[in-house]
Amino acid sequence: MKAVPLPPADTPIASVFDELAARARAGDAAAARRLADDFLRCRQGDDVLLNLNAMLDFEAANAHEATAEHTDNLLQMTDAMLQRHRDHKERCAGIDALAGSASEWFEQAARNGDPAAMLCYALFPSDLTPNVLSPAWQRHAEQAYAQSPQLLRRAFDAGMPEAAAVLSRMHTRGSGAAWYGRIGDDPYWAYAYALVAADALPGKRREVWNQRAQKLALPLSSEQRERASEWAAAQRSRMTLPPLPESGRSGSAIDCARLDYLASWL
Amino acid sequence: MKRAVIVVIAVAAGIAVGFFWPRTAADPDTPVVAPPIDAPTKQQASTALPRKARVAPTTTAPPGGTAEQIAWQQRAMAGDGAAALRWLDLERTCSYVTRFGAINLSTYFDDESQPPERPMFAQISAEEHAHLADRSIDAAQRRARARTIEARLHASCDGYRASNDAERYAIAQIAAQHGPPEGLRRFITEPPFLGDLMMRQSGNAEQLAQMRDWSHRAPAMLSERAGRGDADAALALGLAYALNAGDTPAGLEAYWLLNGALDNDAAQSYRWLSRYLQFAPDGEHAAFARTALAQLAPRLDPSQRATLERELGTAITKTAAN
Repeated sequence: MKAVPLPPADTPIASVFDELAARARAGDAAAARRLADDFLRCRQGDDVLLNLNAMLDFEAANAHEATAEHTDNLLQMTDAMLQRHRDHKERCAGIDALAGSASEWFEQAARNGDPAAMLCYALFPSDLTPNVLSPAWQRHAEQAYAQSPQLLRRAFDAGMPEAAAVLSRMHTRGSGAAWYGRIGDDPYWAYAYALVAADALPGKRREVWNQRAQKLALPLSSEQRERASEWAAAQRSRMTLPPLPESGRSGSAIDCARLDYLASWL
Repeated sequence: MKRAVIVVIAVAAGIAVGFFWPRTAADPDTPVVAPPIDAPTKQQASTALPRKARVAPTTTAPPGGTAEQIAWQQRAMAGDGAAALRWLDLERTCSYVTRFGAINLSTYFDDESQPPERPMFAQISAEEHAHLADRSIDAAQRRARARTIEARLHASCDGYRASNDAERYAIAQIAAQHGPPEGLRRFITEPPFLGDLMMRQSGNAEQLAQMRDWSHRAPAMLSERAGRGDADAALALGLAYALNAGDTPAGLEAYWLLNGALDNDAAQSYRWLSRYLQFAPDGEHAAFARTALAQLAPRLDPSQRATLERELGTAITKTAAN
Protein backbone atom coordinates (compact mmCIF):
# COMPACT_ATOMS: atom_id res chain seq x y z
CA MET A 1 0.00 0.00 0.00
CA LYS A 2 1.40 3.37 -0.95
CA ALA A 3 2.02 5.70 2.02
CA VAL A 4 -0.21 8.76 2.11
CA PRO A 5 1.98 11.87 2.20
CA LEU A 6 1.96 14.11 5.23
CA PRO A 7 0.88 17.76 5.03
CA PRO A 8 3.74 20.29 4.61
CA ALA A 9 5.80 20.73 7.76
CA ASP A 10 4.71 24.30 8.43
CA THR A 11 0.99 23.57 8.29
CA PRO A 12 -0.86 24.82 11.38
CA ILE A 13 -1.45 21.75 13.50
CA ALA A 14 -5.09 22.51 14.27
CA SER A 15 -5.97 22.52 10.56
CA VAL A 16 -4.71 18.97 10.01
CA PHE A 17 -5.17 17.45 13.44
CA ASP A 18 -8.40 15.53 12.77
CA GLU A 19 -7.01 13.94 9.63
CA LEU A 20 -3.66 13.04 11.22
CA ALA A 21 -5.25 11.73 14.42
CA ALA A 22 -7.62 9.47 12.46
CA ARG A 23 -4.72 8.15 10.41
CA ALA A 24 -2.60 7.64 13.52
CA ARG A 25 -5.34 5.75 15.32
CA ALA A 26 -5.78 3.59 12.24
CA GLY A 27 -2.15 2.53 12.44
CA ASP A 28 -0.28 5.13 10.37
CA ALA A 29 3.11 5.50 12.06
CA ALA A 30 4.17 8.61 10.15
CA ALA A 31 0.98 10.47 11.04
CA ALA A 32 1.36 9.63 14.73
CA ARG A 33 4.99 10.65 14.69
CA ARG A 34 4.14 13.94 13.02
CA LEU A 35 1.62 14.69 15.76
CA ALA A 36 4.14 13.71 18.44
CA ASP A 37 6.78 16.02 17.00
CA ASP A 38 4.34 18.89 16.57
CA PHE A 39 2.95 18.51 20.08
CA LEU A 40 6.45 18.40 21.51
CA ARG A 41 7.65 21.47 19.66
CA CYS A 42 4.54 23.43 20.52
CA ARG A 43 4.50 22.24 24.14
CA GLN A 44 8.12 23.13 24.63
CA GLY A 45 7.00 26.58 23.80
CA ASP A 46 8.43 29.36 21.93
CA ASP A 47 11.73 30.39 23.43
CA VAL A 48 12.33 32.98 20.76
CA LEU A 49 10.92 35.91 22.71
CA LEU A 50 12.85 34.88 25.79
CA ASN A 51 16.06 34.70 23.80
CA LEU A 52 15.32 37.99 22.09
CA ASN A 53 14.68 39.65 25.40
CA ALA A 54 17.97 38.37 26.82
CA MET A 55 19.82 39.41 23.70
CA LEU A 56 18.38 42.93 23.75
CA ASP A 57 19.14 43.28 27.45
CA PHE A 58 22.73 42.41 26.73
CA GLU A 59 22.87 44.77 23.78
CA ALA A 60 21.33 47.60 25.79
CA ALA A 61 23.98 47.18 28.48
CA ASN A 62 26.68 47.44 25.83
CA ALA A 63 25.01 49.94 23.50
CA HIS A 64 27.78 52.46 23.96
CA GLU A 65 30.17 50.08 22.20
CA ALA A 66 27.91 49.30 19.24
CA THR A 67 29.03 50.16 15.71
CA ALA A 68 26.56 51.03 12.96
CA GLU A 69 27.26 47.69 11.29
CA HIS A 70 26.60 45.84 14.48
CA THR A 71 23.32 47.68 14.97
CA ASP A 72 22.22 46.76 11.44
CA ASN A 73 23.03 43.11 12.12
CA LEU A 74 21.13 43.28 15.36
CA LEU A 75 18.04 44.67 13.66
CA GLN A 76 18.14 41.93 11.05
CA MET A 77 18.51 39.30 13.72
CA THR A 78 15.61 40.81 15.67
CA ASP A 79 13.40 40.76 12.56
CA ALA A 80 14.27 37.13 11.90
CA MET A 81 13.53 36.13 15.49
CA LEU A 82 10.19 37.92 15.47
CA GLN A 83 9.28 36.16 12.23
CA ARG A 84 10.14 32.80 13.84
CA HIS A 85 7.95 33.73 16.76
CA ARG A 86 5.04 34.57 14.44
CA ASP A 87 5.53 31.29 12.54
CA HIS A 88 5.53 29.33 15.79
CA LYS A 89 2.36 31.01 17.01
CA GLU A 90 0.59 30.36 13.74
CA ARG A 91 1.69 26.74 13.60
CA CYS A 92 0.74 25.96 17.19
CA ALA A 93 -2.47 28.00 17.44
CA GLY A 94 -5.27 26.07 19.13
CA ILE A 95 -3.13 23.16 20.25
CA ASP A 96 -4.42 23.32 23.83
CA ALA A 97 -7.85 22.25 22.60
CA LEU A 98 -6.51 19.21 20.74
CA ALA A 99 -6.59 15.71 22.17
CA GLY A 100 -3.48 13.95 23.41
CA SER A 101 0.02 14.97 24.33
CA ALA A 102 3.47 14.53 22.86
CA SER A 103 4.14 11.40 24.87
CA GLU A 104 0.75 9.88 23.97
CA TRP A 105 1.41 10.42 20.27
CA PHE A 106 4.93 9.06 20.62
CA GLU A 107 3.42 6.00 22.24
CA GLN A 108 0.96 5.69 19.36
CA ALA A 109 3.77 6.07 16.81
CA ALA A 110 5.76 3.40 18.65
CA ARG A 111 2.75 1.07 18.62
CA ASN A 112 2.37 1.77 14.91
CA GLY A 113 5.94 0.64 14.31
CA ASP A 114 8.07 3.80 14.15
CA PRO A 115 11.47 2.67 15.53
CA ALA A 116 12.63 6.18 16.47
CA ALA A 117 9.40 6.70 18.39
CA MET A 118 9.99 3.40 20.20
CA LEU A 119 13.38 4.65 21.30
CA CYS A 120 12.09 8.07 22.18
CA TYR A 121 9.08 6.86 24.12
CA ALA A 122 11.09 4.19 25.93
CA LEU A 123 13.59 6.73 27.20
CA PHE A 124 11.41 9.84 27.56
CA PRO A 125 7.93 8.53 28.27
CA SER A 126 6.17 11.43 29.91
CA ASP A 127 5.38 15.08 29.66
CA LEU A 128 6.30 17.42 32.45
CA THR A 129 3.10 19.43 32.49
CA PRO A 130 0.53 20.09 33.71
CA ASN A 131 0.23 17.39 36.35
CA VAL A 132 3.70 16.00 36.77
CA LEU A 133 3.89 13.66 39.79
CA SER A 134 0.10 13.37 40.04
CA PRO A 135 -1.11 9.80 40.65
CA ALA A 136 -2.07 9.43 36.99
CA TRP A 137 1.31 10.73 35.83
CA GLN A 138 3.10 8.31 38.13
CA ARG A 139 1.07 5.34 36.96
CA HIS A 140 1.91 6.22 33.40
CA ALA A 141 5.61 6.70 34.18
CA GLU A 142 5.79 3.35 35.95
CA GLN A 143 3.99 1.51 33.16
CA ALA A 144 6.22 3.10 30.55
CA TYR A 145 9.25 2.19 32.63
CA ALA A 146 8.18 -1.43 32.73
CA GLN A 147 7.52 -1.51 28.98
CA SER A 148 10.71 0.23 27.94
CA PRO A 149 13.04 -2.80 27.58
CA GLN A 150 10.52 -4.50 25.33
CA LEU A 151 10.17 -1.37 23.22
CA LEU A 152 13.92 -1.09 22.92
CA ARG A 153 14.12 -4.68 21.74
CA ARG A 154 11.47 -3.92 19.14
CA ALA A 155 13.49 -0.93 17.94
CA PHE A 156 16.57 -3.16 17.84
CA ASP A 157 14.71 -5.83 15.89
CA ALA A 158 13.53 -3.13 13.49
CA GLY A 159 17.18 -2.39 12.74
CA MET A 160 17.89 0.76 14.73
CA PRO A 161 21.57 0.82 15.72
CA GLU A 162 21.05 3.25 18.61
CA ALA A 163 18.81 0.67 20.26
CA ALA A 164 21.83 -1.63 20.54
CA ALA A 165 23.74 1.02 22.47
CA VAL A 166 20.83 1.70 24.80
CA LEU A 167 20.26 -2.02 25.39
CA SER A 168 23.92 -2.41 26.32
CA ARG A 169 23.51 0.39 28.85
CA MET A 170 20.34 -1.21 30.17
CA HIS A 171 22.36 -4.31 30.98
CA THR A 172 24.98 -2.34 32.94
CA ARG A 173 24.33 -0.82 36.31
CA GLY A 174 25.87 2.57 36.87
CA SER A 175 25.17 6.19 37.45
CA GLY A 176 24.25 8.31 34.49
CA ALA A 177 21.08 8.22 32.48
CA ALA A 178 17.93 6.90 34.12
CA TRP A 179 17.90 3.81 31.94
CA TYR A 180 21.35 2.53 32.89
CA GLY A 181 21.00 -0.90 34.41
CA ARG A 182 17.25 -0.98 33.88
CA ILE A 183 17.29 -4.62 32.84
CA GLY A 184 19.90 -5.60 35.39
CA ASP A 185 23.61 -6.16 35.47
CA ASP A 186 24.53 -8.70 32.83
CA PRO A 187 28.09 -8.32 31.47
CA TYR A 188 27.52 -10.83 28.71
CA TRP A 189 24.58 -9.02 27.11
CA ALA A 190 26.07 -5.61 27.82
CA TYR A 191 29.09 -6.74 25.80
CA ALA A 192 27.09 -8.39 23.04
CA TYR A 193 24.93 -5.33 22.40
CA ALA A 194 28.00 -3.09 22.67
CA LEU A 195 29.62 -5.05 19.85
CA VAL A 196 26.61 -4.42 17.64
CA ALA A 197 26.64 -0.71 18.52
CA ALA A 198 30.37 -0.45 17.84
CA ASP A 199 29.91 -2.01 14.45
CA ALA A 200 26.75 -0.22 13.40
CA LEU A 201 27.25 3.33 14.70
CA PRO A 202 29.32 5.82 12.76
CA GLY A 203 32.10 8.28 13.58
CA LYS A 204 32.94 9.12 17.14
CA ARG A 205 30.23 6.87 18.51
CA ARG A 206 31.90 3.92 16.83
CA GLU A 207 35.15 4.76 18.66
CA VAL A 208 33.35 5.24 21.96
CA TRP A 209 31.56 1.90 21.65
CA ASN A 210 34.65 0.07 20.54
CA GLN A 211 36.41 1.23 23.68
CA ARG A 212 33.40 0.42 25.75
CA ALA A 213 33.13 -3.07 24.29
CA GLN A 214 36.77 -3.72 25.14
CA LYS A 215 36.14 -2.69 28.72
CA LEU A 216 32.99 -4.78 28.96
CA ALA A 217 34.88 -7.81 27.65
CA LEU A 218 37.28 -7.87 30.58
CA PRO A 219 35.23 -9.97 33.01
CA LEU A 220 34.13 -12.44 30.30
CA SER A 221 35.74 -15.73 29.43
CA SER A 222 37.15 -16.25 25.95
CA GLU A 223 34.33 -18.63 25.21
CA GLN A 224 31.75 -16.01 26.21
CA ARG A 225 33.47 -13.38 24.07
CA GLU A 226 33.46 -15.67 21.09
CA ARG A 227 29.82 -16.53 21.50
CA ALA A 228 28.87 -12.87 21.90
CA SER A 229 30.87 -11.96 18.79
CA GLU A 230 29.07 -14.56 16.72
CA TRP A 231 25.72 -13.32 17.94
CA ALA A 232 26.66 -9.69 17.31
CA ALA A 233 27.86 -10.42 13.79
CA ALA A 234 24.55 -12.04 12.97
CA GLN A 235 22.62 -9.10 14.43
CA ARG A 236 24.77 -6.52 12.69
CA SER A 237 23.40 -7.47 9.31
CA ARG A 238 19.93 -6.60 10.59
CA MET A 239 20.86 -3.03 11.51
CA THR A 240 19.44 -1.62 8.34
CA LEU A 241 18.17 1.77 9.48
CA PRO A 242 20.48 4.74 9.01
CA PRO A 243 22.12 5.88 12.23
CA LEU A 244 20.90 9.11 13.76
CA PRO A 245 23.05 12.05 12.71
CA GLU A 246 25.97 12.98 14.93
CA SER A 247 24.99 15.72 17.30
CA GLY A 248 27.19 18.76 17.32
CA ARG A 249 25.46 20.30 20.26
CA SER A 250 25.02 19.26 23.81
CA GLY A 251 21.31 19.84 23.31
CA SER A 252 18.36 19.70 25.57
CA ALA A 253 17.55 16.15 26.49
CA ILE A 254 13.84 16.80 26.23
CA ASP A 255 14.18 17.56 22.54
CA CYS A 256 13.03 14.16 21.45
CA ALA A 257 11.52 15.49 18.24
CA ARG A 258 14.81 15.38 16.41
CA LEU A 259 16.47 12.66 18.45
CA ASP A 260 19.91 13.86 17.40
CA TYR A 261 20.85 14.65 20.98
CA LEU A 262 20.71 10.95 21.69
CA ALA A 263 24.16 10.58 20.23
CA SER A 264 25.57 12.44 23.19
CA TRP A 265 23.84 10.08 25.61
CA LEU A 266 24.87 6.87 23.99
CA MET B 1 34.35 44.37 20.91
CA LYS B 2 33.13 41.28 22.48
CA ARG B 3 29.63 40.34 21.44
CA ALA B 4 27.56 37.42 22.40
CA VAL B 5 24.11 36.15 21.73
CA ILE B 6 22.73 35.01 25.00
CA VAL B 7 20.86 31.80 24.64
CA VAL B 8 18.37 31.25 27.36
CA ILE B 9 17.64 27.65 28.10
CA ALA B 10 14.21 27.55 29.58
CA VAL B 11 14.08 23.85 30.39
CA ALA B 12 13.65 24.53 34.06
CA ALA B 13 11.64 27.69 33.74
CA GLY B 14 8.89 26.16 35.82
CA ILE B 15 11.20 25.81 38.77
CA ALA B 16 11.11 29.28 40.11
CA VAL B 17 13.80 30.63 42.34
CA GLY B 18 13.30 32.80 45.35
CA PHE B 19 10.43 30.98 46.91
CA PHE B 20 8.72 32.65 49.76
CA TRP B 21 9.39 29.82 52.14
CA PRO B 22 9.26 30.47 55.11
CA ARG B 23 9.33 33.47 57.32
CA THR B 24 7.62 31.66 60.17
CA ALA B 25 10.44 29.41 61.19
CA ALA B 26 9.38 26.24 62.92
CA ASP B 27 11.55 24.73 65.61
CA PRO B 28 13.81 22.37 63.70
CA ASP B 29 14.32 20.15 66.71
CA THR B 30 10.66 19.45 67.23
CA PRO B 31 10.12 15.82 66.34
CA VAL B 32 7.60 15.09 63.65
CA VAL B 33 4.74 13.06 65.02
CA ALA B 34 3.17 10.75 62.51
CA PRO B 35 -0.51 10.08 63.09
CA PRO B 36 -1.39 6.42 62.68
CA ILE B 37 -2.43 5.72 59.15
CA ASP B 38 -1.76 2.84 56.86
CA ALA B 39 -2.23 3.88 53.30
CA PRO B 40 -2.50 7.63 52.88
CA THR B 41 -4.99 8.73 50.27
CA LYS B 42 -4.84 12.08 48.56
CA GLN B 43 -7.14 13.49 51.18
CA GLN B 44 -5.16 12.06 54.04
CA ALA B 45 -1.89 13.14 52.54
CA SER B 46 -2.57 16.68 53.58
CA THR B 47 -3.07 15.83 57.20
CA ALA B 48 -0.72 13.02 58.06
CA LEU B 49 2.78 11.90 57.39
CA PRO B 50 3.12 8.43 55.93
CA ARG B 51 3.86 6.18 58.86
CA LYS B 52 6.44 4.20 57.03
CA ALA B 53 8.72 5.41 54.29
CA ARG B 54 8.15 3.51 51.09
CA VAL B 55 11.74 4.20 50.27
CA ALA B 56 13.81 2.62 52.96
CA PRO B 57 16.22 5.17 54.44
CA THR B 58 19.84 4.21 54.18
CA THR B 59 21.07 3.42 57.63
CA THR B 60 24.69 2.78 56.84
CA ALA B 61 26.83 4.73 54.44
CA PRO B 62 28.86 2.97 51.77
CA PRO B 63 32.57 3.06 52.53
CA GLY B 64 34.81 5.91 51.45
CA GLY B 65 34.43 9.65 51.13
CA THR B 66 35.97 12.75 52.61
CA ALA B 67 36.18 13.18 56.37
CA GLU B 68 33.62 15.96 56.18
CA GLN B 69 31.27 13.88 54.07
CA ILE B 70 31.51 10.94 56.46
CA ALA B 71 31.00 13.12 59.54
CA TRP B 72 27.93 14.92 58.19
CA GLN B 73 26.45 11.64 57.02
CA GLN B 74 26.92 9.91 60.37
CA ARG B 75 25.32 12.80 62.21
CA ALA B 76 22.53 13.03 59.66
CA MET B 77 21.70 9.35 59.92
CA ALA B 78 21.51 9.80 63.68
CA GLY B 79 18.73 12.33 63.10
CA ASP B 80 20.64 15.61 62.98
CA GLY B 81 18.74 17.69 60.43
CA ALA B 82 21.27 20.52 60.30
CA ALA B 83 24.04 18.00 59.54
CA ALA B 84 21.83 16.48 56.84
CA LEU B 85 21.53 19.88 55.20
CA ARG B 86 25.29 20.35 55.34
CA TRP B 87 25.70 16.94 53.71
CA LEU B 88 23.32 18.02 50.94
CA ASP B 89 25.28 21.25 50.48
CA LEU B 90 28.50 19.31 50.14
CA GLU B 91 26.84 16.86 47.79
CA ARG B 92 25.67 19.67 45.54
CA THR B 93 29.09 21.29 45.40
CA CYS B 94 30.97 18.07 44.84
CA SER B 95 28.54 16.79 42.21
CA TYR B 96 29.20 20.03 40.39
CA VAL B 97 32.96 19.57 40.68
CA THR B 98 32.66 15.99 39.48
CA ARG B 99 30.59 17.01 36.51
CA PHE B 100 32.37 20.19 35.44
CA GLY B 101 35.83 19.58 36.81
CA ALA B 102 36.20 22.91 38.57
CA ILE B 103 34.33 25.69 40.28
CA ASN B 104 34.38 29.02 38.56
CA LEU B 105 33.07 32.13 40.29
CA SER B 106 33.44 34.29 37.20
CA THR B 107 29.76 35.23 37.35
CA TYR B 108 30.77 37.81 39.94
CA PHE B 109 32.76 39.57 37.23
CA ASP B 110 30.92 38.79 33.98
CA ASP B 111 28.50 41.67 33.88
CA GLU B 112 29.40 44.60 36.06
CA SER B 113 26.13 46.34 35.20
CA GLN B 114 24.04 43.77 37.06
CA PRO B 115 24.18 42.75 40.72
CA PRO B 116 25.53 39.19 40.77
CA GLU B 117 23.30 36.37 41.91
CA ARG B 118 24.49 34.30 44.79
CA PRO B 119 26.05 31.08 43.49
CA MET B 120 24.53 27.71 44.37
CA PHE B 121 27.42 26.78 46.65
CA ALA B 122 26.23 27.12 50.23
CA GLN B 123 29.80 26.97 51.53
CA ILE B 124 30.32 30.53 50.33
CA SER B 125 29.56 32.61 53.42
CA ALA B 126 27.40 35.72 53.42
CA GLU B 127 30.49 37.79 54.13
CA GLU B 128 32.36 36.26 51.21
CA HIS B 129 29.42 36.83 48.90
CA ALA B 130 29.08 40.44 50.01
CA HIS B 131 32.78 41.03 49.43
CA LEU B 132 32.81 39.44 45.96
CA ALA B 133 29.66 41.32 44.97
CA ASP B 134 30.85 44.71 46.20
CA ARG B 135 31.80 46.61 43.05
CA SER B 136 33.35 49.40 45.08
CA ILE B 137 36.17 47.02 46.04
CA ASP B 138 39.07 46.69 43.66
CA ALA B 139 38.32 43.98 41.08
CA ALA B 140 41.78 42.43 41.30
CA GLN B 141 41.35 42.02 45.04
CA ARG B 142 37.95 40.41 44.58
CA ARG B 143 39.24 38.09 41.89
CA ALA B 144 42.04 36.96 44.14
CA ARG B 145 39.55 36.18 46.86
CA ALA B 146 37.33 34.34 44.37
CA ARG B 147 40.25 32.12 43.41
CA THR B 148 40.91 31.35 47.06
CA ILE B 149 37.29 30.37 47.58
CA GLU B 150 37.25 28.28 44.41
CA ALA B 151 40.32 26.41 45.62
CA ARG B 152 38.78 25.83 49.04
CA LEU B 153 35.56 24.43 47.61
CA HIS B 154 37.48 22.29 45.18
CA ALA B 155 39.67 20.93 47.96
CA SER B 156 36.60 20.07 50.04
CA CYS B 157 35.67 17.58 47.32
CA ASP B 158 39.03 15.86 47.15
CA GLY B 159 38.24 12.22 47.82
CA TYR B 160 34.50 12.71 47.68
CA ARG B 161 32.48 9.54 47.25
CA ALA B 162 29.62 9.80 44.76
CA SER B 163 26.39 9.23 46.65
CA ASN B 164 23.57 6.99 45.49
CA ASP B 165 19.90 7.78 44.94
CA ALA B 166 18.75 6.09 48.13
CA GLU B 167 21.06 7.94 50.48
CA ARG B 168 20.38 11.30 48.83
CA TYR B 169 16.66 10.86 49.32
CA ALA B 170 16.99 9.54 52.86
CA ILE B 171 19.20 12.42 53.94
CA ALA B 172 17.03 14.99 52.18
CA GLN B 173 14.11 13.66 54.23
CA ILE B 174 16.06 14.06 57.45
CA ALA B 175 17.02 17.61 56.52
CA ALA B 176 13.38 18.37 55.77
CA GLN B 177 11.93 16.86 58.91
CA HIS B 178 14.57 17.74 61.46
CA GLY B 179 16.61 20.50 59.88
CA PRO B 180 16.25 24.25 59.49
CA PRO B 181 13.53 25.69 57.24
CA GLU B 182 15.90 25.51 54.28
CA GLY B 183 15.88 21.72 54.63
CA LEU B 184 12.15 21.51 54.03
CA ARG B 185 12.23 24.19 51.34
CA ARG B 186 14.81 22.19 49.46
CA PHE B 187 12.96 18.91 49.85
CA ILE B 188 9.82 20.53 48.45
CA THR B 189 11.43 22.46 45.61
CA GLU B 190 14.50 20.41 44.73
CA PRO B 191 13.91 16.78 45.69
CA PRO B 192 16.87 14.55 44.81
CA PHE B 193 15.14 13.06 41.77
CA LEU B 194 14.52 16.47 40.22
CA GLY B 195 17.47 16.38 37.81
CA ASP B 196 16.40 13.22 36.04
CA LEU B 197 12.78 14.25 36.14
CA MET B 198 13.61 17.46 34.32
CA MET B 199 16.02 15.96 31.84
CA ARG B 200 14.37 12.63 31.11
CA GLN B 201 10.79 13.13 32.28
CA SER B 202 11.23 9.96 34.26
CA GLY B 203 13.71 8.30 36.54
CA ASN B 204 15.22 4.96 37.40
CA ALA B 205 13.31 2.43 39.50
CA GLU B 206 14.58 3.93 42.74
CA GLN B 207 13.64 7.43 41.66
CA LEU B 208 10.17 6.40 40.53
CA ALA B 209 9.61 4.93 43.99
CA GLN B 210 10.90 8.16 45.50
CA MET B 211 8.51 10.20 43.38
CA ARG B 212 5.61 8.12 44.64
CA ASP B 213 6.78 8.52 48.22
CA TRP B 214 7.47 12.24 47.80
CA SER B 215 4.01 12.97 46.41
CA HIS B 216 2.57 11.85 49.78
CA ARG B 217 5.38 12.89 52.05
CA ALA B 218 5.94 16.45 50.82
CA PRO B 219 2.35 17.62 51.35
CA ALA B 220 2.25 15.73 54.64
CA MET B 221 5.32 17.58 55.85
CA LEU B 222 3.79 20.90 54.85
CA SER B 223 0.48 20.15 56.54
CA GLU B 224 2.35 19.15 59.67
CA ARG B 225 4.12 22.52 59.62
CA ALA B 226 0.89 24.31 58.86
CA GLY B 227 -0.68 22.51 61.79
CA ARG B 228 1.92 24.18 63.98
CA GLY B 229 0.89 27.60 62.71
CA ASP B 230 3.22 28.07 59.79
CA ALA B 231 1.43 30.49 57.46
CA ASP B 232 3.69 29.88 54.48
CA ALA B 233 3.16 26.14 54.63
CA ALA B 234 -0.60 26.70 54.68
CA LEU B 235 -0.38 29.07 51.74
CA ALA B 236 1.76 26.63 49.78
CA LEU B 237 -0.86 23.90 50.25
CA GLY B 238 -3.71 26.28 49.45
CA LEU B 239 -2.02 27.13 46.18
CA ALA B 240 -1.04 23.57 45.34
CA TYR B 241 -4.62 22.33 45.61
CA ALA B 242 -5.73 25.07 43.22
CA LEU B 243 -2.95 25.19 40.65
CA ASN B 244 -1.30 22.90 38.15
CA ALA B 245 2.40 22.52 37.65
CA GLY B 246 3.73 25.63 36.00
CA ASP B 247 0.90 27.91 37.14
CA THR B 248 2.17 30.93 38.99
CA PRO B 249 -0.31 33.58 40.03
CA ALA B 250 0.87 37.14 39.67
CA GLY B 251 3.04 38.21 42.56
CA LEU B 252 3.38 34.71 43.98
CA GLU B 253 5.85 31.94 43.51
CA ALA B 254 4.16 28.55 43.54
CA TYR B 255 5.71 25.18 44.29
CA TRP B 256 5.87 23.66 40.85
CA LEU B 257 6.17 19.97 41.70
CA LEU B 258 3.74 20.18 44.59
CA ASN B 259 1.13 21.79 42.35
CA GLY B 260 1.49 18.93 39.92
CA ALA B 261 1.48 16.19 42.53
CA LEU B 262 -1.76 17.26 44.19
CA ASP B 263 -4.97 17.00 42.27
CA ASN B 264 -6.93 20.20 42.33
CA ASP B 265 -9.41 20.17 45.17
CA ALA B 266 -11.51 23.22 45.98
CA ALA B 267 -12.26 22.15 49.56
CA GLN B 268 -8.61 21.51 50.39
CA SER B 269 -7.55 24.75 48.79
CA TYR B 270 -10.24 26.57 50.74
CA ARG B 271 -9.13 24.91 53.98
CA TRP B 272 -5.46 25.89 53.65
CA LEU B 273 -5.99 29.38 52.31
CA SER B 274 -8.32 30.01 55.26
CA ARG B 275 -5.65 28.72 57.60
CA TYR B 276 -3.17 31.05 55.97
CA LEU B 277 -5.44 33.99 56.70
CA GLN B 278 -5.92 32.83 60.28
CA PHE B 279 -2.16 32.67 60.75
CA ALA B 280 -1.31 35.81 58.80
CA PRO B 281 -4.40 38.04 58.47
CA ASP B 282 -2.21 40.92 57.39
CA GLY B 283 0.24 38.75 55.50
CA GLU B 284 1.86 39.70 52.25
CA HIS B 285 -0.53 37.53 50.29
CA ALA B 286 -3.69 38.08 52.35
CA ALA B 287 -5.46 39.99 49.59
CA PHE B 288 -4.72 37.23 47.12
CA ALA B 289 -5.97 34.60 49.55
CA ARG B 290 -9.23 36.45 50.16
CA THR B 291 -9.87 36.78 46.44
CA ALA B 292 -9.09 33.11 45.92
CA LEU B 293 -11.45 32.10 48.73
CA ALA B 294 -14.24 34.13 47.20
CA GLN B 295 -13.71 32.28 43.93
CA LEU B 296 -13.56 28.88 45.62
CA ALA B 297 -16.64 29.26 47.82
CA PRO B 298 -19.25 28.70 45.07
CA ARG B 299 -17.46 25.49 44.06
CA LEU B 300 -17.95 23.82 47.45
CA ASP B 301 -20.82 21.39 47.78
CA PRO B 302 -23.07 21.60 50.86
CA SER B 303 -21.26 18.80 52.64
CA GLN B 304 -17.84 20.34 52.07
CA ARG B 305 -19.15 23.70 53.16
CA ALA B 306 -20.57 22.27 56.38
CA THR B 307 -17.34 20.43 57.17
CA LEU B 308 -15.21 23.49 56.56
CA GLU B 309 -17.51 25.74 58.55
CA ARG B 310 -17.23 23.39 61.53
CA GLU B 311 -13.49 23.08 61.14
CA LEU B 312 -12.74 26.74 60.57
CA GLY B 313 -15.41 28.10 62.91
CA THR B 314 -16.70 30.53 60.34
CA ALA B 315 -19.64 30.73 57.98
CA ILE B 316 -19.05 30.40 54.28
CA THR B 317 -21.41 32.10 51.89
CA LYS B 318 -21.94 30.67 48.45
CA THR B 319 -20.84 33.81 46.72
CA ALA B 320 -18.08 35.18 48.86
CA ALA B 321 -15.87 34.21 51.72
CA ASN B 322 -15.25 36.10 54.86
